Amino acid sequence: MFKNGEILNNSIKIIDFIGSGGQGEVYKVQYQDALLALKWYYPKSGTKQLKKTLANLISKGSPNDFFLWPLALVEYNNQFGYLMELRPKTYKSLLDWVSLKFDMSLTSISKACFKLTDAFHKLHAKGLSYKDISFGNLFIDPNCGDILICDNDNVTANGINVSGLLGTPKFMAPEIVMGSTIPNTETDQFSLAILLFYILLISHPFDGALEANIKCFDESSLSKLYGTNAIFIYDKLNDVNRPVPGIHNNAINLWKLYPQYIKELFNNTFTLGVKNPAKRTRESQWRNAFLKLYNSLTKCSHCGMENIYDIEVLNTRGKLEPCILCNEEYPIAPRIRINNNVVVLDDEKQLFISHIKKSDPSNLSVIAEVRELNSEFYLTNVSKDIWKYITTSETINILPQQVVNLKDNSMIDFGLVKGEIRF
Amino acid sequence: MNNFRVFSDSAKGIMHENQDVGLAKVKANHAYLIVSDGHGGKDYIRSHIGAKHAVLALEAIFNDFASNYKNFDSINHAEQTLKEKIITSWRKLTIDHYINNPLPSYEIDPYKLYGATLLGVLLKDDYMVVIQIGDGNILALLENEDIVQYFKKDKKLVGNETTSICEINAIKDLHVKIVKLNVLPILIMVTTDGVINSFTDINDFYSLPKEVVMEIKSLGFNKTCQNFRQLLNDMVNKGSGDDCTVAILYNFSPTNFK
Ligand SMILES: [Zn+2]
Repeated sequence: MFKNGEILNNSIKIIDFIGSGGQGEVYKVQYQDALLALKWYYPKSGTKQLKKTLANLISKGSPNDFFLWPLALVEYNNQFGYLMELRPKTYKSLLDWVSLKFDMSLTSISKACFKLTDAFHKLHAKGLSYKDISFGNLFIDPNCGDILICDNDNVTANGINVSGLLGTPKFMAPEIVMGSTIPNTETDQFSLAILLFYILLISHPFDGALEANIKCFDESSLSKLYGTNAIFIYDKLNDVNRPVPGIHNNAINLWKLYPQYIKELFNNTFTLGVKNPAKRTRESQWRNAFLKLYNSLTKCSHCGMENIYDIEVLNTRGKLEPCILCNEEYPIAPRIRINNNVVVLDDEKQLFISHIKKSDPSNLSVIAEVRELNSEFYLTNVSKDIWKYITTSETINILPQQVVNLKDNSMIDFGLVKGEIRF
Repeated sequence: MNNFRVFSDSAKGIMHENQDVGLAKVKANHAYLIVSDGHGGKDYIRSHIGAKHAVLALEAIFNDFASNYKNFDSINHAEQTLKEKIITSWRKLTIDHYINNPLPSYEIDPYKLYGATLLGVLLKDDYMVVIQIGDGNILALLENEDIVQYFKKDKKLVGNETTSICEINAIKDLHVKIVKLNVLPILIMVTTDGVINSFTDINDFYSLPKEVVMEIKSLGFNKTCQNFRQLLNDMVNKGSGDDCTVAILYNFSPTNFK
């Protein structure tokens, strides 16, 4: 619709065309000194109601930094669009993740899922719902697990549906597939669980034997597979829809990796939660589970593979499983217990504000970093506070940027809370 | 990099706290081995810290190189850049430490306090980056059972003298080589000088990589690592008495590159 170099309203210069979708086109633009993205609606999509929605979103502001949120409405030649931040190149589409085009560590996966569930927690807390959670709208930086949620122009107050949008097939909640409701917070929670299942298992929670046996997909088969009769592939009480070897290998191989507390959260949403939206896993439950997963990650010293220090396995079997990749036993790094959480102080592990401050459970600002050298473990205080390091023989201060060599049976006093270290 | 297994360990010498540092890691797309030997002695009272700085500096540089370096048109230029980066980052870490922990009555170049050697190997795709300053050994065992030693002993290194990362013109003594590979080595072994000095017959040292590979094949990697830990302790107690540090990478399915 625009040419490179064209200037809108004497202030917005079109730099380049980025892409187009069903509703409009996106351009890279310069506004004052900043490079931004401009989404411009096709005349048929740019309704008065949508303009009102956008104005409302802009005035409410972004729930947190993980949304590419509308910043300002732009009107030009009786059409309109909005400005938002550009998506940096380091972010990759989840579509590429599910087609295995890039690799991502479990550390990045757990951080990304933490951020994703927290972002929707904050969105829903503002009384808004997203309505179209699917892998087309989520981008991840695989190196650090940062996320960006795009296409936020469908977000409206919970229970109000302006665009008539119902969501993306196979991400929609059963009650939407059956046509009995419009998108809302609880349908978001269902779609979110499907998205998480895709991120963790690179497969769909309802694609099992039943789907594999269907020759032709019609409306009645779709509502059977993904509607209120949908059966979770790992339903504990009903095994008719288990994944099929050779067809659903990701679901089979990756399910084994995850600890029971993650499986339970999927199970709640995809069994009881299919018919009863109130039984679906809440965002804060997911968030806590992903922090727990991050806490438990430990790298095999032989092959570098990330493994899960699963306390339930340790308690029931007396020892951990050998490395999932090289099948060797490997030494476990020291652990720190803070409140009721156990964090493995593996090489490169970070501690966050959320670890020490119960009232700030979603804050991932880094306060400490661990390094391993010569099989010894060192912790650096990267916060601005002075901590105490308490061993059986002495108590010393850990100043900001100071490093301590960790010893068994020692303790770190973070001020707000103490952490006990065990080897 | 799933075909690689790594191991590193360090045994403390008889006389002092351990001045050696060893590191071996496999990442998603690359792997590396690094060892450093702090000089010890009264002029080098912080050499154990200097050795840590050297290892951490090189690790960061290896990780950066592995994810960002693509242009092999100018290998010489890349090698030179690596040299500069290694020296600069070590000096930065070291002077920051000194400024936070100054010695009021100290009169010589503060970097000397932190003197250390540094040896490292980065393996990615079909190339290898090998770096060394000071004594120690980098050996690779090839599929045809040949042993390659990178950087023969410097002429400068007579007796117990060693070149050091702390010297003002260290960049001249720092060897950096980017090696394009036709086939990946079976085993790479990086050791501090305590290891070779603990052998009465030097040929036994050079046959170590082959023995390790045979042991891995018969006992498995984990057991071989445990045995090597014991071997390092024996080296210290019966051999040189110096710290002994090793970092090993084992490649259980060598790949031929076209
Ligand atoms: Zn392993």
